[in-house]
Amino acid sequence: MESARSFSPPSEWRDYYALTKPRVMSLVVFTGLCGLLAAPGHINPVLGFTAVLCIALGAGGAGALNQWWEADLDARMKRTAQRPLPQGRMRTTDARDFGIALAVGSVAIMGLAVNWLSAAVLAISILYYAVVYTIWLKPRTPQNIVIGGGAGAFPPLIGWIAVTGHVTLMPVLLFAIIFMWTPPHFWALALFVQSDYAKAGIPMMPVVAGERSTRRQILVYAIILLVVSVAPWWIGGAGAIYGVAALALSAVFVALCVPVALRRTAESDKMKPEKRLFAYSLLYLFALFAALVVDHVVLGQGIAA
Amino acid sequence: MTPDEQDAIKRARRGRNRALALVLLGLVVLFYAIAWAKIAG
Repeated sequence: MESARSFSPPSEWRDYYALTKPRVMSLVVFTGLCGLLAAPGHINPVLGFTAVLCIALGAGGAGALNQWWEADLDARMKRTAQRPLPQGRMRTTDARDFGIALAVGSVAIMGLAVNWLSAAVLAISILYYAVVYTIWLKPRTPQNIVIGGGAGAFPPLIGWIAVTGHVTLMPVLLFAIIFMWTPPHFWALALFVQSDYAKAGIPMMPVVAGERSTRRQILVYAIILLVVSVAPWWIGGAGAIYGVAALALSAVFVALCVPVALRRTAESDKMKPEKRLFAYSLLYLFALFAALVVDHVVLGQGIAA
Repeated sequence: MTPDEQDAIKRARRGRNRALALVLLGLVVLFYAIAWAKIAG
């Protein structure tokens, strides 16, 4: 009886898969692929596939390192308590080694197969997420989501550099778009999901600065996003198809942020505007990057601005 | 350790080994394809 109680189920391959945060990875793969497809120039399809694979593996490694570092924190929150580490299905050192192996492997393959600049940026993005964000800043500042958004903004930049081999203004703008998109996207969620970040001691914006300030900041970021998203068209890095799509998509984004910014949560609030904004924000990012690729394919706009 | 627990450990180990075999096989194919792409390019 005693042995049955102390028995912990052994880790399965699914646990390792869960460590890589597969749902986050889908967005990473999509934006990375779009950066690759929208870049001027040509890349061998096998090498293009390898580049996107490395971006995904690197993100998976960073996700595993994030879960290794935050195992105690995850155990204290309902949303994350089912992860392999808080459940005790895996040794913490195994998760750490798995994360390091994915990170090192993805950077090495990217460097050998594609080019070393994209490998270097991939390495920076992994270190940024696993060290700067997870270990250093997330527990220390309510701007953690803004900073974390930087990590999610790397994939299209890396995809672009995989093709061109150098950094120009265009891929930096793609980075800036996701950077500005993340705060309104995440804070909309934070407003309607009763999270236990406060209990776990993480200074999330709605908890620290209050709801009113968070709502106002959502609108501010959306307005900056509108300007940044249209910028590739202004500088000639993308054509009219992208420009019009970006203007329309971002205008709707701002329009959905206005009611969120101006209202306050009432008793037994259904939080409809916040839920609508969150759902739209996901659609927005997919549609915007798809428009960039369509624009590139149709208009053949290949200016490396 | 009960027989059931031993079975669970064996099942999990077998699953992990199969997944690792697939990953290694995938890497072999990937490196082969990259080599060809590099030579052709």
